[in-house]
Amino acid sequence: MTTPVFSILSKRRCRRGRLVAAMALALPAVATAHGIVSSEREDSPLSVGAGVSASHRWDSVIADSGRWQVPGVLMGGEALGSEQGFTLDAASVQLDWRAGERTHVRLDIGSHHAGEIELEEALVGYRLADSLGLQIEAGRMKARFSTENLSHAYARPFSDNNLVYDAFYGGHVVDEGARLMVTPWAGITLGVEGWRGSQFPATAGDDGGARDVFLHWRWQDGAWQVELGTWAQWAEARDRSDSRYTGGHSHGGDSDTAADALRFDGDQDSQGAGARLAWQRGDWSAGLAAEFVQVDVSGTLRDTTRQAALSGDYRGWWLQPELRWRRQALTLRYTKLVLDNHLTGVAGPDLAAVAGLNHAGHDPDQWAVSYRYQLQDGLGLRLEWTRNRATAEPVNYLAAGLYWSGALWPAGN
Amino acid sequence: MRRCIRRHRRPWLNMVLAACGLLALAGCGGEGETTFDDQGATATAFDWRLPAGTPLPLEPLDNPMTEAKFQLGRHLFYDRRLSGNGTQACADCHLQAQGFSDGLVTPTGSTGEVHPRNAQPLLNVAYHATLTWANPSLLTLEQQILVPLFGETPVEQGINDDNLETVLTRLRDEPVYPPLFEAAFPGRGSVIDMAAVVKALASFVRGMVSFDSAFDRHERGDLQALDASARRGRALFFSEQLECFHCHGGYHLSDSTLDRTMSFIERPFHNTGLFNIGGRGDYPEDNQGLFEITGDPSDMGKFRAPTLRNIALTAPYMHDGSMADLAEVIEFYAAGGRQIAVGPEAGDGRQNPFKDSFVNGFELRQQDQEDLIAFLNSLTDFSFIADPRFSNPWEATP
Repeated sequence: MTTPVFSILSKRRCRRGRLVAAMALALPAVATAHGIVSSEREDSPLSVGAGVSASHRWDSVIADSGRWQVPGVLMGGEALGSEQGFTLDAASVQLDWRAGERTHVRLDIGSHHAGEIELEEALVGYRLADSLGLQIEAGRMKARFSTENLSHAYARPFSDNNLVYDAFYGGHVVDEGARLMVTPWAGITLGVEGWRGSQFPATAGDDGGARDVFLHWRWQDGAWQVELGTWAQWAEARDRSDSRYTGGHSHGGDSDTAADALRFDGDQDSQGAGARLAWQRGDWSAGLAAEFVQVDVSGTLRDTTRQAALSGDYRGWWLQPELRWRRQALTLRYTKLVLDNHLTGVAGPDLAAVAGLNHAGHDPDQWAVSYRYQLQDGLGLRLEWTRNRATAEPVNYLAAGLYWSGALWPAGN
Repeated sequence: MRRCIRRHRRPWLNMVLAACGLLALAGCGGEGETTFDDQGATATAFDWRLPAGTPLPLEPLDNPMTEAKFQLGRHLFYDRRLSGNGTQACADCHLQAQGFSDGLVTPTGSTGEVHPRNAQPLLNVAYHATLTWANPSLLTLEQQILVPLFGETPVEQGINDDNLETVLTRLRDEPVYPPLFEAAFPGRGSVIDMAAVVKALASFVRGMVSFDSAFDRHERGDLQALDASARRGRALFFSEQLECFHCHGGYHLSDSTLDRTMSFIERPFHNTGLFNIGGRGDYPEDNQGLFEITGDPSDMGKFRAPTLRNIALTAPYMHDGSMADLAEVIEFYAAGGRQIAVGPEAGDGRQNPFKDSFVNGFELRQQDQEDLIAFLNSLTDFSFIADPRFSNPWEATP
């Protein structure tokens, strides 16, 4: 099995050749089967896929202090921002093994932000019943409540991670847990996931953990593909810190010691809805993806001596139209966050300043344009321009990079 | 803290709402904002003259700050008649030109008794979580001021039961005081008693705030306020290599800090390895720090980390005034403690079993030491030591 985009690509290659490659680039979001073992796939019980993306950026959202903070929201996880200069955006190898009629195993080992290599997924799945497509999976997994949470830089139009997910989910949600999915009708998937809570915005242990439910519907008719989805997530945190920069030993910067000392106890509840639309005719194809996320944060922010009650009401949304002609694709992405915070307690202003919760005078948003050229199957060139206002001061930067993904085993899968 | 967390919303309703929200993307604009409710905790009748963003100190409920009490306290602070024998004022050990310290190893009281501890500078005292060098029970200035006024071991200003009425009579006979007392404590007439004296003195000392050093201006965004050497020194000061900031960090440059924003109060004391008499961790008998109050052997030699503001003005250093200048202090910390080879205080302070874990020693080049001193010099607030608001009012009286 390959990455989601190319797994779909492979199924259709024999029928549509180049057009399918175009479709795959035009519809990265529609291709969502990351982590799902299809009963229709080829006979080989083992498949191995890989992907890599590397880019050079001429600027970055990361401040001189080395810290990235979207003004108005508590951050964490792996939302580190893309660095200036040459960086490895993402690299991963996925192994899928069908261990019998009903059991499957998946391993996904990857690296983000040129950081250390991580085990992104290590799961075992079992198909409980054929009639409803009832399936259970457990282990370390990427959450499936939104297809955007599954995306990699090498399989989407942009090398930068989605701002909504950086701000609200620490980049993307990967955790240890279990998932139950059912397909009561063709095209409809209903899922429930329960998580240990070791991933932002949740914490593990007492009073921690996370869970979500999702409903996805896919429909295809001729040149049209449609996917709709909605979901809700509940994350509970106890003694949560912004662990993105801890472990270093520089305290002379911009109050980074104080920021690292902050703790949050409370809940983050979020609900979202997304839609992905794709159309293809001849050498042309077009796609449109969008998602809206509503987040409610309620809890207590504190450091060693101070505390204040925090109530956050956040909205985030992104809209991504795309046009494709033969080997070329042009994609636009607009992302916006509207972040309302209210802190109660005399320490509120001080803690808000340290935590980066003060409003910057503008809502964080990001314009990005991506041009991709498919050099050969799986390998592409990407040029990007980004106007990023997810910082106190807007940043504009260009990026150029290469991406590749494909099947390593069996060859031609 | 989780008790205040409200219950989760109904998921399906919110999922539908989110779907509707998607449909309304085009209209999803608006400006976010961050708002605050301090529940009235920042209310004060006193003009603290603090820079924006600086937290307010606490004010005792039974002695809220007023300008009238501050001005009365200022007169009393500089008045030698407020001592048993009429020879010593608070200001005799707390000189404005020297950052309200005295430049002596240890001060001498009104009757000639020598204090075992170095006179501490008075600035931002309102932000101390505890007062004096090593007394966890002195939490308010109203409590602490009784020590220099009435203390017997040693005698400082030397007021006692025998001379108290004489002292008050001196004050009542001074024509400047009745209107000042009446303004400070309206409704009491011009009653001059020791309770009012203490509250007024506490108000003056509490109001002596200083946040206009080059370091302060740098932290407020004026990056040119520190020269290159001081900036390098700042980086060293806040580094894990030197560990200074653990005990002298934050806006107060002390880990014993209290202000209105705080809910959890820390009152730490530290043994820095100045002594290790007999290898048992002992300090000289007349100066054993927190141990003198608690009797806990592990508190031997523990003292409160003073603020480093105006540190360049307040030599000599340490609780016993045993270090003449900042270079000596830095070398002491670089060595991880003090070794005394001979005499009754002989011992290797570096091996003191009660020494703070942050006093580990470090290596410093000559340039590093100069940079660190440049940074410490940047903590001087020259406007504070020249501010007529804190000066001797009697000298201005014709």
